[in-house]
Amino acid sequence: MVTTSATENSQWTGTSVPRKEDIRLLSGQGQFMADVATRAGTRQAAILRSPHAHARIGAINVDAALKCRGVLAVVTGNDILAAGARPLAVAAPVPADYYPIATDKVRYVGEPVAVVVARTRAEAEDAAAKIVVQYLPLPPVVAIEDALNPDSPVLHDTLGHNVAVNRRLRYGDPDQAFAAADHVIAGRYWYPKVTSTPIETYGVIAEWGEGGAVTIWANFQGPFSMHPVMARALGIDQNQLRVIVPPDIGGAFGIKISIYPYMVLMALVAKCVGTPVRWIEDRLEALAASSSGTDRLTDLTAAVSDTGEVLAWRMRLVDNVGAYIRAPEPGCLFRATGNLVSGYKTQHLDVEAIAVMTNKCPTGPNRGYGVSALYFAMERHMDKIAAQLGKDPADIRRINLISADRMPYRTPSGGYYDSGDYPATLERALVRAGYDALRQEQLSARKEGRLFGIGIAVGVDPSVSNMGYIDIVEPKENRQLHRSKSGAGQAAHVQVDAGGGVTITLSTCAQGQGHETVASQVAADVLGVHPKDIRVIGGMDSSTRDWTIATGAYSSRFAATGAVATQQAAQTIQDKLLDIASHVLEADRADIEWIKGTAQVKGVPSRALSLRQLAGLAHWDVASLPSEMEPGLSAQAYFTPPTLRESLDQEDRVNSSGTYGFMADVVAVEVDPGTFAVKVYRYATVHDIGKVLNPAIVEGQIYGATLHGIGAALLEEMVYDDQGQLITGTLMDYLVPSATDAPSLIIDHMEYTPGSSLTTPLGAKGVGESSTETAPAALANAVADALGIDINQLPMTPSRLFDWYRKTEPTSPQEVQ
Amino acid sequence: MKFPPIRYLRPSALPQALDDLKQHDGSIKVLAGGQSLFPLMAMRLTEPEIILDINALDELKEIRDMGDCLAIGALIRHQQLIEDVTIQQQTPVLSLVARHIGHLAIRCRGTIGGSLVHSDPSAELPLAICALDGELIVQSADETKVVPAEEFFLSYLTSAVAANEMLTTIRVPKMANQTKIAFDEVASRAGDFALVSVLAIVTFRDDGAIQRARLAIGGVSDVPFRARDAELLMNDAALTPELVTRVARTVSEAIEPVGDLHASADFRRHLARVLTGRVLNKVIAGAKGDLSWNPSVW
Amino acid sequence: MEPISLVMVDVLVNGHREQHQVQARQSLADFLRDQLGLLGTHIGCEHGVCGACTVLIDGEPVRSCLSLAASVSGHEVVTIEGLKDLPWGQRLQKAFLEHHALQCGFCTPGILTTMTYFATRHPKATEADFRDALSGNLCRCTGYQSIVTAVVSAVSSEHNDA
Repeated sequence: MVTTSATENSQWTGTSVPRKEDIRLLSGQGQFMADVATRAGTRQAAILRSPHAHARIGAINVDAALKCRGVLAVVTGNDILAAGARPLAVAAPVPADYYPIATDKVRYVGEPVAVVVARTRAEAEDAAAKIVVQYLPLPPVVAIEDALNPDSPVLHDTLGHNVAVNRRLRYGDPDQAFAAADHVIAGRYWYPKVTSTPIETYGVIAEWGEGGAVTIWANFQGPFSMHPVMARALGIDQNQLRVIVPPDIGGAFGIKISIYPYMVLMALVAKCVGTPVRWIEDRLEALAASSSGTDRLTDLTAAVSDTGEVLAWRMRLVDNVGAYIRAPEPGCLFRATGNLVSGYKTQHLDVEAIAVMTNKCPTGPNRGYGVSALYFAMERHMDKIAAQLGKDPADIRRINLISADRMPYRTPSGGYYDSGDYPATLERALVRAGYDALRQEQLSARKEGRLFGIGIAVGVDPSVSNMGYIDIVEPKENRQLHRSKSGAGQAAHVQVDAGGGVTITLSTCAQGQGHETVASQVAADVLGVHPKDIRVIGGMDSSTRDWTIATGAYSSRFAATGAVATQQAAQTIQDKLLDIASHVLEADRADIEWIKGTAQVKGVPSRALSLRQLAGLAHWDVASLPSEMEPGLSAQAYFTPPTLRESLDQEDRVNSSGTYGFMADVVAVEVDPGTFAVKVYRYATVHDIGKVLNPAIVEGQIYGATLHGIGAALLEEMVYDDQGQLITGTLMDYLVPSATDAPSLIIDHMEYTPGSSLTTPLGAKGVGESSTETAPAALANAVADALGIDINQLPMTPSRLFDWYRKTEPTSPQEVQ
Repeated sequence: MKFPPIRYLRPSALPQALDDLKQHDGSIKVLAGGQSLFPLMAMRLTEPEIILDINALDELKEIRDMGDCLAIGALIRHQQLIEDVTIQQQTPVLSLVARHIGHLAIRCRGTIGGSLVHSDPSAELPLAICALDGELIVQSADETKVVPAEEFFLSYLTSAVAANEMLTTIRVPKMANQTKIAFDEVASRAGDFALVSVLAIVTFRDDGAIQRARLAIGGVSDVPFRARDAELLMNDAALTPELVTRVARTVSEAIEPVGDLHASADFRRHLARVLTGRVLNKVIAGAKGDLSWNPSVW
Repeated sequence: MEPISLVMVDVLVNGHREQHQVQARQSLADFLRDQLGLLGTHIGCEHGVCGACTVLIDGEPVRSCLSLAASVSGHEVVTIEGLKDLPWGQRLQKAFLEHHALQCGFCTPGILTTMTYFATRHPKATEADFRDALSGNLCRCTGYQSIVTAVVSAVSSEHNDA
């Protein structure tokens, strides 16, 4: 489908060039959201938030707050409604209005109730403490099981129950497969509500100009499909909403998608008060009320043959999306539609996909979105199947993995796996971990009474989400004609000035992935210049840059889309330079070639024009150009993987992602028999991600992704009590891994065969989430192996391991002296 | 999370500071290292009207040798407890446990006085001072009191220092000859407050039997728990593996821990038993301190 | 003396003498950013856990969110902007660039200040020591390995040069 030879002769692409971003970031010169200069007269906002999980709002008395020093105004939900706010559009077809501030009820601890605008943030906080809100507390719903119970309290009266989505998806003939199965193996799994906690919190500056021209600065990571959502909520046309993203975002991991309600809120507050308004979220706000992944309850039943083949899955996936079903939810349920079978040959699926609402913080994309929880359950279950059939965990995966000769492969649910050698990836991970030797070590460790375990997890890593997967939320009979979605368009702009200087303007909203560096590598190869000489403009401005509604840095998409758009824009420039050279050198166009930044007549190095010379002509001397040619030298390009030029079909099949990588993780752990601390003894992870554009950046992504998975496995969980109070409201209680919790990894890659990717010209697949999706399962498998117990729940805190181990042992564990 | 409005005082001599405390009794809060106070203020869980910054009081920054004990100024920072040679030699327990307090930047700022007055039952220094039977010099404008450690820690986050008083000096007995010390703690992550911590200080007689044992457990009560019954079992006995097992069981039966987010009550009880066994085994092995402690670096 | 709400601060910041009147309640972090325009010091949690705001006061690492601006009068503060003037600051900046020891860069200023202190004091520390010294600085991007590698490499190349 797509072929290119550009990367095969590349000098820069594929090498670990130092990052362009680092010079400013290492010297304190980054430009993050809190560093954006504000116009004189800008006021600071603080948000009063609900202390109740569920309550009706009575009177709000702001008199004392208004008398506080420095205070300009207090804005409540009623004021926002009066200012013309409309509900934020939701993807689920349910009557559960979602506004960025509570209007009638509060539905989670931390929900905005009022916004104080003052000269300083400190003064705004002083005043917020003086607002008196009458709450009429209501019984909360916290647990998934309670939300499913029709007798429970209801969050959204207009809906009448708490189930936001309930879809049945069937692929193949699961009933027949279960009838024919030799073994039917069932299990239930809980995945925790975790949040990636970028160290930079949300920040917004909003201006409401005369005539409704709105400008919002925010560390928003995209997707810009939220742009029309925001414009509609503000009651303005889309072209009236200018969104500006600073060049540096201090981590996002999906969390900074869900900032958009605050962008709307601050714009409306700015409208109410008549001045620009700035709000920098603090950490308590971030932990209580920014975003997180869902907690998920998974029931899995596998139809298995005597040989160990998983013929069919029944899956009941119940996601807890919190108090509101905030777009892009229920993407958590459907992002993995195309890869529901992961890397396995299973042909039959029966899926119940349910999203419930409870009195917890609303959810949204979080690294490993919709996949970590799925693979935690599946990969734990594969170990259970292996145990029941008396097979080695490696063997049960060998039996079921899709073999390389079946590529490209269409999954029963519509995923299009274009390339990859999954069995070989697993084998390499087993070799790199020293699997056989580890099993020997385990034998001797067990003889000494030590708790030593080995875990494997594999998975197909979906990246570059297809907008179209979300259509699946509607049953096909309700889908509207001409309202379907598809694609994953990303854009880039390249210009060359009169001196031959190259500037790339991105719109991808990078958050540390090094887009500026990779873009410069790719363009440097096309134009024959040094990457360090290319200026790259990061960040985003929706009014001046090239973008589509899929624009942004999410779903691990830059390598497979933004980098390609950059390459294609640079190629357009090169083509124009060759046209000019052909004209000026009076040589046939086919006889001109581009060598090391110079257009040259083939075989005649003396007849050549440099990039600088040609650029000079394009800008200074229109007379020298071919007669029809436009002056200047700039190009834009848009790219979407060609395999995403398809939307959801009538059988609920969808190719939900543009690229599918694969990873195999093998981990060995030792559990302290006294303290139940889990120590990672070895962690090998092997990836099949096509072409690696910058090895250092890819290694950094894998390290970061793995540690997010380890965090979910061992430490992280947003815990609420039965009244819906958040227990983990500070970073002293919500535990993220520190340097001493982070293992060294053995990382390896499968070799890339040029041209093997059918979906993206550079051949690079996404890797940003990767082992976030497998590490939780790999560690759970290892710890279960070490302790000889079943593990169905994360995080595996020492206190929990102690409880679980004690329950399976007749006596409490004895310290090994 | 901006601090609430405050007024600020930075006296340059102790009598002046004590006068300030008297004059503004009840509305004033002493600022030493601030590493516990400021998070509480940032969350507006405490809103003092006046901050009395004592960091200019040089008389609280001294470590004096009093013969049988060291008199340690309340402003000595945790990192000094680790690095100061006199403390390492005379009261090595403090160096040993301070290594486990928070993280580097916290240790550079936090003070021994601040930590003791904050009285977190899972903190390392209250535990050490309890085990060492230290004495706390508490001063007000009108009197100077010497408070024994067992009377100093009243309850969770509550010490015997009244609003008009200041902890100025901590007297810590020098370590006796033929004494082995060991400490271990379990925390969710390195640097977090301990779920349970155990400190053992065991002085041996010439014949190898225990002359005096001190055992303190953190994180299992509203104040640091001194395991007196277990100590009695050990005094005059030989420290055998059998005795270790008995002592560990005695400890776990004597405590009444409560569960929280990070550890259930049962798990805390279990940890107290396990860690007691481990530190006493370290004492048997003669290890000075925990295995992660590397004096060559510190 | 009467307690005051506005405090005159006289402090040396990155070698420059700064004299400013500040609110008594103002944190050192806010003072550096809002009054002095030193935006390289980042605020990540304001309760002393994440370490992003760490600066050097009299050479020692301190959470600037857990310090009052008023308290630094008479002291010397070094922020990320001034690290290039410290031998270990500059060495570590170079090593971080070479070893891809940062991604989003938000936590980096606090990590560099902390590691500058530690490498200056303990140039012969082991990898485990550096990891331990780093444990009070949260980074959500790197998984820490490249940071540890960068610091260890800076230390060992310094030994080799010596």
